[in-house]
Amino acid sequence: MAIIHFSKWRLIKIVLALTVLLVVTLGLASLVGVESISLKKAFFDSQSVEHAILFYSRLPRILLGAMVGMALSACGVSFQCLLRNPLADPFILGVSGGAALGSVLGISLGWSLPWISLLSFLSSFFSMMLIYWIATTEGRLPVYTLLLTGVIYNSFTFAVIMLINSLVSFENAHRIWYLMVGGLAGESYFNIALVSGIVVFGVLLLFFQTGQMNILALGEETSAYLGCDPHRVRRNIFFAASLIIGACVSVSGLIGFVGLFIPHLMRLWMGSDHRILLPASALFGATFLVIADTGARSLFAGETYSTQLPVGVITALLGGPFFVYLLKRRKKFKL
Amino acid sequence: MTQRLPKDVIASPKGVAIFHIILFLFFLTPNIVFGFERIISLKPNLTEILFALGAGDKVVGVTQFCDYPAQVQSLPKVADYINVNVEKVLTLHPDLILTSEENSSKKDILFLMQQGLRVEQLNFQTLSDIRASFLKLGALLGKADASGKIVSEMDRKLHQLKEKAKSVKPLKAMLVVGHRPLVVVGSGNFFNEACDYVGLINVFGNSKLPYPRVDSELILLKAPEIIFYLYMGSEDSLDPDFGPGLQNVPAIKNKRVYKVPISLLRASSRVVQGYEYLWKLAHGNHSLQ
Repeated sequence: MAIIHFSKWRLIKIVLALTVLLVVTLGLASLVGVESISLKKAFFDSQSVEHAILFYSRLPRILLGAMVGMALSACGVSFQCLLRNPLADPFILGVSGGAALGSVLGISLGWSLPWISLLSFLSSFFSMMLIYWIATTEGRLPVYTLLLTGVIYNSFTFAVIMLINSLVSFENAHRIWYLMVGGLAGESYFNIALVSGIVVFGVLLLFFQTGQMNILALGEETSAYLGCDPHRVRRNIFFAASLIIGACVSVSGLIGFVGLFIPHLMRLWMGSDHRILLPASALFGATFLVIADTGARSLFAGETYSTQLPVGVITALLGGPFFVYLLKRRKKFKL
Repeated sequence: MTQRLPKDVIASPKGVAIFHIILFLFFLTPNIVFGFERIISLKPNLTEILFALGAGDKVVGVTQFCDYPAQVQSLPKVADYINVNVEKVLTLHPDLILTSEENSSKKDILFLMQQGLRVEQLNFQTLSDIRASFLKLGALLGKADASGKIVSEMDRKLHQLKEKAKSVKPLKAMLVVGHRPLVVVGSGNFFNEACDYVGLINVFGNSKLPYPRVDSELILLKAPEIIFYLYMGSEDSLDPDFGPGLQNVPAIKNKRVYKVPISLLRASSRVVQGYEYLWKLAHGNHSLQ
């Protein structure tokens, strides 16, 4: 791949273009549904069905989709750099398992929704501390210990989840299954605002590390020679990304594929300078998940089936072939 | 005119049918004469049916979810809703195992068959499936009279209900079987059929799927006037949470959301009582004689 030099102008150009794309997608997605709705009624008649559809059914889903897509993609970029492994996804470091375990505990205790999200978030936070404590050896955070701890912690939490799943009632098993598949429906604005706050804060934190990420990508020893403290950078990335993932999993469950494939897609498209890669992935990830969820909620919602698909089905179906296409023709995609 | 040979009689469809009946009777005779003595039921509705047919004293194993009639609760539990504890089944030495085609662990069933046990799989998706399975089971247990009577009584009551339903203005109904994600009753099952007998129109009855998954947008568009939440649960009686922004859906605005334990609507002869219960909730002021 040709070397593309970083310039502020290029960053601004890309961020602007992708922001416009995201805003347009948000607007268009809110117009797509089973039936087209009259915007006039939706905006000016607060008692109408159109108003409820737009503001309570579509918009929360779209906004949450954008936030989760942004979070997963930004974390994907960060983890791929942190672990120096192209297969890393946001769910690799055990924090997602911790968040899922919290949700499952909340469900099995019969708690109501905001409390389940809170427990899930707390559980992810404590998992993060625990993983950090286990993986730290002699005050350093070696990448292989971190990866190993994360993967083992994930397997452990999923075993506990399966244990709980076999013991709870049928309805609760159904909800646990849904959590594992992931979905964006039925969140309140309050929850979405909370998640958005955490995601935006975390993504900004990650963005300020991108210069260091570039150095870290050269390897531990090299980066130390270049005046970067790899352990401090790793710790910062780990905490910021874990915070975001905990918040996302607590409301939307485990939505697969986005966090793995969007960073690679953007790398093929924009090059691997993290200062551009991270914001571009975040914005494009948001756009992509909104499109995927719009498909999931409306493709088979017509009279014949009246059903909605899990969003993970669409992310993989759309993402897979598109990725292959880009991989094969990468030279033609330069921005 | 050529003379018909015995060979032709055997090869004709009628001949084949007679041959099968003879074969069937040959293998069945010992059990008709002596009856099945140790029956295991792997579904709550089958347990109910066995007791309704008067074969309750032959039941030696049931599922965790069997609760009707009350005496089944003391019987050994050999299965949950889907999986079978095959070891426990084997130790009970059953001579007949009954299960339904849907929601069964095929592997467990196959294993039991391979052990030389007699396993009968019946179908209970629709009302006509329930009828046919009742009659089949009656014939199998040598209780054809009892099953015939129960089915005709069921049909009589269903007919009454249907006539009664014509006198009311049908309500647009949504039947919820799971929430988060919201899963509702579509078509091709006796929950959907209930609507014809109870004076309801299932708003998702046109879906080709038996249990479509929906979200608040579809509920807002369909605007059901009454919602039944058919819950599987026991002690945990979470109130259904259909998500924010639905306060203007007629059923929710008029507080016409009812929780109905799904055990009242099992595919047994009691399904009619379940329908009557729904009728009372839906059109309570039109009393049922």
